[in-house]
Amino acid sequence: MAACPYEVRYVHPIKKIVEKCNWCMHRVLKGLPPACVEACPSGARMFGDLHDPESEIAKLMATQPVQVLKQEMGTKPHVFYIDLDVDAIEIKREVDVL
Amino acid sequence: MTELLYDVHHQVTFRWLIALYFYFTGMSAGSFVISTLAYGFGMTKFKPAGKVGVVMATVLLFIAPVMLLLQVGWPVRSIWNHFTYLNFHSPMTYGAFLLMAYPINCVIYGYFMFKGDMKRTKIFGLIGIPLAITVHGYTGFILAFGKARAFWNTALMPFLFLISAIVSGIALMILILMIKDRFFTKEKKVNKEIVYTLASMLGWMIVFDLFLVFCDISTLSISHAEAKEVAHLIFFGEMSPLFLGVENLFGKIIPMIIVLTPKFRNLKTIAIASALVVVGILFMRFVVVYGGQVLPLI
Repeated sequence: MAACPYEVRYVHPIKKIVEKCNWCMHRVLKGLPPACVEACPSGARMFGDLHDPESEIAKLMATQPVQVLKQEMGTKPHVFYIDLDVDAIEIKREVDVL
Repeated sequence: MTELLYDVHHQVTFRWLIALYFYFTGMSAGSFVISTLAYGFGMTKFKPAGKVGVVMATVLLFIAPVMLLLQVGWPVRSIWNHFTYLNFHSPMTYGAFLLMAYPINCVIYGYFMFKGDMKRTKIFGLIGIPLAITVHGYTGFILAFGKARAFWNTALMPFLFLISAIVSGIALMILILMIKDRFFTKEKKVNKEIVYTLASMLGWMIVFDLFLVFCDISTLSISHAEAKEVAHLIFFGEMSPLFLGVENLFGKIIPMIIVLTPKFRNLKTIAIASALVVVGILFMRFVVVYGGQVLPLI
């Protein structure tokens, strides 16, 4: 938990084990989108198979410039952001801390 | 604000239990190494420290994993998962094996020592040295490999841990030797020679430790933005009373002056200095473990 550069691991309140987001594996296996994707009224999130060039997400990735968080950590994250201003966030963080 | 941006809540997961775990394995490794000076390397003036050392090393190394299992919260599950999901990329995997092998070796080493079989004592003493160094050294690697945390991610971390282990091991050993000689022997008299030898060794180990801390902190305060934030945290922020006051002033500098200055050095002041070191290193563990997680990563 302490090593995760994104601090996204947490102790599951009921199972009392350490977990992180698994894209709602239980839903995906049944052909449903992850809960956060389905719940978002403005469609800000998208989930899909990047190996399939015909999928909506693969097409979007092919046409839009994307960024990831903390690329320098070499974790090869697969959460991509469109129109994310990483520099602005980094500077903001520094101001908040000091 | 930044927490709201990502909807990730900052959390500190390693606290006192992990700090105590590092503290106990450190003192265990330190006292083991001292015990082998006489029984492994034949330095006879350290002989009175040999038996005390092996008992300390064994007892401390039985307490240490208890802290770890309390932190994990699932003792059976954690042992089971260790073997089912064996991960050779993780220093924790090596640590778990070492935590099993090292106390067994301590018990065998101690058994032959108390039996008076010097040849076998020497063999198991020499086997135990790399085990003692790695059983504590790996905890330094665990933190050093936490690459997202500027305070931990330094190649100095295993060294810092080993030297502070020896420092705290010697200090605790001085205290235990004094108590043992004073209250549990016929003569009720403290063995001055061994205490003075250990005290001057303690002093020079603290000098080395302070040098390592200086290297670490000076690099942090010049390095990249996150490292500078850490330096700011330990010099002026939340951790500064513990880091500057408890760990370094009371835990290292004052005891170092006491044990290295002939004018201040007597049995009473050595006992006080050792007690200060034992407390100081406990807070050193806490400052490193907790302080490494104070700054939010995202």
